Amino acid sequence: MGRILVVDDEPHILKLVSFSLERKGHEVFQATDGVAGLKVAAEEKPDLILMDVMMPVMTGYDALDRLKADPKTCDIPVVMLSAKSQHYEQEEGLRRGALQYICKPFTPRDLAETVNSILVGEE
Amino acid sequence: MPENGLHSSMSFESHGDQCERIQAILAATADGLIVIDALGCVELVNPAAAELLGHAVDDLLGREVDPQALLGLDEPFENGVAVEVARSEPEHRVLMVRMNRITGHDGEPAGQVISIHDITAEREAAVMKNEFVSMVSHELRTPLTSIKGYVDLILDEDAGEINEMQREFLGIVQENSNRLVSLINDILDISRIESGRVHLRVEPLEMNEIVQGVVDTFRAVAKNSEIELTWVAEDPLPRAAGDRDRIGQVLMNLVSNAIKYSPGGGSVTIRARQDGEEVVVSVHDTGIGISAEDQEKLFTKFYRVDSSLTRDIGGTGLGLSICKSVVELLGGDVGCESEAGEGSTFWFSLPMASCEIVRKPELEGPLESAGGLVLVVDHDPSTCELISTYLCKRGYDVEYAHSATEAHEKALRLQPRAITLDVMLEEDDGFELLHRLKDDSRTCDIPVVVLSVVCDEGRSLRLGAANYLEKPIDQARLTRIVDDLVGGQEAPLVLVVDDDRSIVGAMSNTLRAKGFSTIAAYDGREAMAAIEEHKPDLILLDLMMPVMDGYQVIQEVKSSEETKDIPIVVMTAHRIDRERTDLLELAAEQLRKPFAVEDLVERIEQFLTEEV
Repeated sequence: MGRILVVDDEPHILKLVSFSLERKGHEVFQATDGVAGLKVAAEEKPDLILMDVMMPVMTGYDALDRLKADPKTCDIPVVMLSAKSQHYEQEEGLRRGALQYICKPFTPRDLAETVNSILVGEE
Repeated sequence: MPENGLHSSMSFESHGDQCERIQAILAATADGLIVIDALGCVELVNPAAAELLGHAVDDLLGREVDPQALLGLDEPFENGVAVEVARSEPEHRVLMVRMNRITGHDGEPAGQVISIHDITAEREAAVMKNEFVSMVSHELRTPLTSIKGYVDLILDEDAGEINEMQREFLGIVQENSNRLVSLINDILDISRIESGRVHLRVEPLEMNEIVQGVVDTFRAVAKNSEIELTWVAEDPLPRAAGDRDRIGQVLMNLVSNAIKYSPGGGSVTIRARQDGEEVVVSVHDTGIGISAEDQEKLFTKFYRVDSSLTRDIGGTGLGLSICKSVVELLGGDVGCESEAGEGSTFWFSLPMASCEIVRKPELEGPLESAGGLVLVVDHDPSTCELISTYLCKRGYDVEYAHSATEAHEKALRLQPRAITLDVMLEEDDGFELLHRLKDDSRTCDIPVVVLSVVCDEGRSLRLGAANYLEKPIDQARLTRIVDDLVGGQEAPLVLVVDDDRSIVGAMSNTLRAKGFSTIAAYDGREAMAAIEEHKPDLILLDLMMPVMDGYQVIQEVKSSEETKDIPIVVMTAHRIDRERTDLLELAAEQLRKPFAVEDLVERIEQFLTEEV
């Protein structure tokens, strides 16, 4: 089981993702914008980060860029979770260094399975 | 001046009044108007025109102007044709401008009228509409994520047990939120297509592959709906020019509709065929059919045939509209033919890929056939001939057999180097023949390649076939397989590329006389097609060619993992382009024209032995 950071400004989605992952036995940390996300990432060194793209204060992409630029956090896999569903938007996420790009709306079960397969692959 | 109504109704008034009137009319017109006289000077200009162009009326009046420069057009005006022009001075504006020539009484040119219509607001509205649609669809996704997500959690009983009725009702919520998601996706798609922001990757498409893929996707769905799903492919089918993903999406849409609207026990048939310079794919169903009235509106947005049958069938009403836009963007057409009660046929067409219309370079074998005899067993004479053409070009002699008995007899008597066998023989069983050949000590050493339209690879190999090839037959694969089986006989293949056909002809003949196979290509694009299809052992390349030059060919060949090891001999009569010498260093050798052909052949032979 992994330690996972979820960053999303929508409280209901934050809860949805956290609940689904906790049910599967993961430990979940939460943050509601990019800046807060970076702080938790540095403190907790999670195994995986799930990050929304459009957020106040700092967008998910800016946070992703900083995570990837920092040697302390650059190895943590990041999965983008976004309502931006267009092909080019997904490509942009992957180009910036995200491991995967999941479009909203997603099915909690699929999300949990994706998370599992990433954590298993990372071990 | 009798040619327009404006003037003829004023013809009773004095000249002075007429001028006043015209000035007043022009001043009241919202569109810009400029009248230029026969000498090219501005005769009349209204305030709207002056404002749109950022000049004062008095600055323009009487001045000699070049209409093209005045409006900032890239090309001269064409009489009566409206063109769009974007201007940044005096402010950002998009204008629709048109010039009409004035012809005098005597038929001589008497000047021109230029009208200017400001469409800035319309263009901005279109952009805003698309941005709005894109924003709304993103905004809708967020609440939908919660609705769908929590319903999914409850249905998975992650929040505790639920009873059957709760399960049923939540199932309805789930289905409808999924439908909303498809609707949002479709609307976003339409908006992108309409605003021209959709990126199409046009490439040559093997339509049969796409059809096969779609059939595989729907096999289970069709089975569940008790519908027989079949496809008929024309073979060979030229490649079409299109975007793979988008065309797959279009065909999925048509097939999905056909299955949805066909009653159980019916059938859906997909056909791909060539029609002139187009490839046409049609999907026929045995559903209730569509009235002529509905057929016209089918491809419009949100239109759904209203009948008791369709009401409980989900869908967004946008699918066909998206299909139409995509296919039209790709230069094709869509349509529907149907008679009530007779089922419907939906079709789309795509232009043939340009590489199919230009010549397809053909492989020619060495002048003396050195490959030995191959026995081709197929009940269909035209297939026999086709295979024979492939093999003869490669230097093999070919003998046919149309039945199992004939094949067995010829195999015994002629002892061919290899046999190709279509297992679908008319009256006999090909597998039985294969078994008999392998069981007989006199024929068991002759390698057999099984050709089949159905997937029988496992069975063929178990029965002792040396290899297996699915129909439609791929020429390159067939010849490679036969070459491998016969072993060691293969004539090295040289691709000769030059836009001078006489050079190509002479070179090919000499090479073929020396035991090489050759392919001829007359420009770079043909060369790339030939390289992809035939993987030649060596390329003889001219540099200066139309369409795609030799430098580009070197670059492409050397940058692909699959082809980078093919040696290239550059032949050129010209001085070498200094800036591109780095590319030439990638080529194996350079030859200056003119050179002795014998000399060339010797060097090629050296090359190929070094390679081995």
